[in-house]
Amino acid sequence: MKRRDFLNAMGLSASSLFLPSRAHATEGPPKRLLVLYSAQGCAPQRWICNPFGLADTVSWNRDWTNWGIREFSDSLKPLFPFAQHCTAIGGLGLVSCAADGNGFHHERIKAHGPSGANALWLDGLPYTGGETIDQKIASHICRPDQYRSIECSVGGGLEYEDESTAMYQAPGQPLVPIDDPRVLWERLFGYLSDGGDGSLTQQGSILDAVSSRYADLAEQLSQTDKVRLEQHRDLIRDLETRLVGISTASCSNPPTEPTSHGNYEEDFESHLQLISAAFSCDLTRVASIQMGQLSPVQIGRPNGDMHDRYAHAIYYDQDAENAMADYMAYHAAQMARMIEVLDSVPEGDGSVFDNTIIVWLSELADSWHGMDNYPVVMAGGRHTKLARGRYLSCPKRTPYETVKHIPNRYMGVPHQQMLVSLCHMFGMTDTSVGVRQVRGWDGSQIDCTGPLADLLA
Amino acid sequence: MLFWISLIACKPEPQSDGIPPIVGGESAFHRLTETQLNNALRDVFDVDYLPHLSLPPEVAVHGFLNNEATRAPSPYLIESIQRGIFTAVETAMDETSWMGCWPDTDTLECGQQALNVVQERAWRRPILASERDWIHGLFANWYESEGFEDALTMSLSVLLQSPDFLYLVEHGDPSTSQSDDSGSFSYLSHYEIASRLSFFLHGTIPDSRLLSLASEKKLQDSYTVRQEARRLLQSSKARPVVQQFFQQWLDHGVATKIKPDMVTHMKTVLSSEELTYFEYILSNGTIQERIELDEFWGAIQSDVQFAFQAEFNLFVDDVVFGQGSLEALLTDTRGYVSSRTARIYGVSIGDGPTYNYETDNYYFDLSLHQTELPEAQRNGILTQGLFLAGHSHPIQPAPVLRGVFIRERLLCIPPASPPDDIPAIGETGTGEWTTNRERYAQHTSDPNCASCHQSIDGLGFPFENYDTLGAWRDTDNGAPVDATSSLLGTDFDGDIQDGLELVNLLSSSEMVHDCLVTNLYRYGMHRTETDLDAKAIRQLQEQFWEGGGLIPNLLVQFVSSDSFLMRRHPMGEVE
Repeated sequence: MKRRDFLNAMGLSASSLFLPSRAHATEGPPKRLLVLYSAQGCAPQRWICNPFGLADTVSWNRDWTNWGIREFSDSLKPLFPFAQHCTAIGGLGLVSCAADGNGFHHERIKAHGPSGANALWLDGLPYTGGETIDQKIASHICRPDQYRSIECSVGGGLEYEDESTAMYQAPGQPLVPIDDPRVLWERLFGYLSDGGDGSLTQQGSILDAVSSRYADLAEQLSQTDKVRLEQHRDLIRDLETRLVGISTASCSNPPTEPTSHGNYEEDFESHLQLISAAFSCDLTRVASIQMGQLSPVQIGRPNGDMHDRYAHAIYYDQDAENAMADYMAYHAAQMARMIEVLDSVPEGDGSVFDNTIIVWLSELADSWHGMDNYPVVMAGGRHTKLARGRYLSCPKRTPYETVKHIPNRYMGVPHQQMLVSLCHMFGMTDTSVGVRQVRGWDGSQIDCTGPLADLLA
Repeated sequence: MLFWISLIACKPEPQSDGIPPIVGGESAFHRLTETQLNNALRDVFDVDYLPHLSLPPEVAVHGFLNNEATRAPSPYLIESIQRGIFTAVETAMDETSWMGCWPDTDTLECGQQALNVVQERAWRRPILASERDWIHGLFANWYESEGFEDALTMSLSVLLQSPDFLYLVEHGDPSTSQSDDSGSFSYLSHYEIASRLSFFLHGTIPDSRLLSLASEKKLQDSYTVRQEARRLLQSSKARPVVQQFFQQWLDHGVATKIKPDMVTHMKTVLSSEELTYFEYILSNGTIQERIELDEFWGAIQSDVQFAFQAEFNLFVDDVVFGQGSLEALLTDTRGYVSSRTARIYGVSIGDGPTYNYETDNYYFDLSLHQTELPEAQRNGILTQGLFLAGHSHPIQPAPVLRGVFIRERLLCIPPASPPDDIPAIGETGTGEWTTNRERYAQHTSDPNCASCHQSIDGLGFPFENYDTLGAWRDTDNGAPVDATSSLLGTDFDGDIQDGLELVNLLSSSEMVHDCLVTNLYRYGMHRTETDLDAKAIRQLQEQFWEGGGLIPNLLVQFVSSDSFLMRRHPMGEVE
């Protein structure tokens, strides 16, 4: 048994010994979630669309497929050709985040954004305090014989802020992304590259023996240690199931191995191609790409400090405002590219995109590090439950005051409602995600539960 | 013998009868780190080469990557362990010396004998008959169906994926159980102590001497443990492990933040030929040549980052295993320079020892040369490039980042969170100021900021003599540098003249000594301290301070302390 690594040793001579039941014939194509997560935040005055000049206290929801490109904000213009698939949501507020301590804006907003939960404060520093939305949905839509989810990053993801990841499987339990497309390829497709020789049974037997050792030892330990060991054991059992599922997946044409790592544009494209193939083969149904901070050069400006020179300065420097509009437009173009790629992969009588929801979440709300105007765009295929082709404007009527460039005693709608809606699009019935209520300055309880009206088809 | 070792009284401690042990909080349940796992695999098989086993990166708590708070297993971790262990086992099977029998014979007995060897080494304790029967049984079954080689590979994979290898499994020794106000505790078993000690000081499985002391039941004794700790510290295996603590404590990774602005700082790091070329391209070059120049500057940045990191490693290693004191770490004037960082420090390379590095930077390989840095400008780790350039903005240094780092990491008084309603000062904002210092003065003149920033900036301003690259400067924008400061919230408050005065005050500060101990405790216990640890930490702090702040002594005191040798029973533990 001499092989490059054990995944290469995964045979295709699938013994059915560990084969779970896979009733895909009757299921129809699976639903999937792809998260695009961009570093920094927006310049709201250049992200929000408001072609009718309505006050921000008004709630409105319009079909934007009949708008002209000039009605699209500069940040969202690249989505114009894809408007029929997309819905943008303006006017969300990170109300729970504003109420959760002081300082550490990057860390706090990162914690609240994708999880909706209060931060887990470890020695005065905020870590993500709940499972993030991708993981919550993965629990519902992924089968045990698949990769539960795939996390990858481009350009180091959040490393620019000394952060490792935005995705957490539980409070304080990070899922660190794979930055190198070659490593991602190895994880997803390495085993398919040189056929099999019947070692699947062996791998299953090894894992079976290992998990029994975890179970035996766990019985002898304290409650705390036992829980840890049982978590490890459960993951071994999951892997055992997964290896069978992976090797029996129908990947007729696995993608070729990427050859490089380190170029922002190329890495994004490689990750996207690999995820699209993994979706197509049903190796996984949930994936996320965390985009590292762009350099000014990538948005056509001289080299320099993106963060300090541009991101902070959007409200008092026209060039900075322009730069952050271009910055968000860069990522909007990536979202468009995601739609394009997934739509080019045939499935049934349509494409993989038909059954996929893409959600674009931002690290920060505005790039000035405020907590209002959290920008979110979703795209969904025709068989998803996203109400597509809309622009939703949520009203600023939430009685919570937060740091703002232009003082305003009211914030937008708690973003948890957007997360709840996402769950509903995948057939889940959760009524809340993370924080349920926050006390407003008027003494009222601000309700963060329930879905966002009109987001569900 | 190095002189610091002789400073530890080499006699048994006075009888401690009647003095209750000082035991810390509940033990962490430590899973081996990537470094420990690779070291341990190498030592289990005792082979020259095994492919590196990569795990997903860790998420730091207080800078430390081994804190259990963020180390729960994930699906990708489990995959990485399995594929890594399997690959390691396959490679180890190529070299058969560790087995003793194969390839001469491929009998059942030979395989079981090889498994005995690995199980004892990897699990680091005597193996129960039931545990031995279990792996022998698995092997026998697979031997029938898969043949010798596959069966052995599979069985070894099982042993090395077991928790007994991957975790520091600790039950404690029930025969030594006692209790205090906070619950019950006992010594760790002798073998558990051997593992804790070895992984802490050598980053790998216990050697044969530690195992034989464990079998003689001699390790529940702080005198013996001290002797052993001294022995382990003299081995080369201790060097990278001790370095790793300092790298995490003092944020070695900050090097990636060193991104000086080209036009402002090229004069400092370029050779005269390079500078002529840069200036020519900047004024006459094509767009393509400008892009290439940016790339070249990027490579120079990596070069500087790497050189400053390597300097940090060499310096820490030399000082900790030389003079050994925290004071020397903060005041010693030796430096390790590349041709580029020599320009930053304004020194010549000299003829000291040379260290050669291969880098993955395609422009250059790197040599570092040991030299003396000018003592009127450089005293110790806080006046070296890694700290100074790592806490800078592209054009100007960042006194706030420098001050926050010193408060957090050296004084253990992290500043309060900045209030939500005040934005940060931007580097390029406009205003009525000439020097960097004047721009930051806004912090301390605005009453909203002053309460916190006086105590932060006060620790950053003294370094204003060091620019973004860490190069010395007497003027900033043509005006004289003001490095004076007024310190608040330390145990050496008052007015000071400059960075060297600050560094000297820090080096003799009890707060700084205490803070190192707290950080070592976090690192060594794989967790954040709780109230239950306060007494144990206090005791170590007193020993460290009274003993003159000698770091190797602290390591010895720590591993022989009650907290390290004992285990507080968590609720519900089966005794």
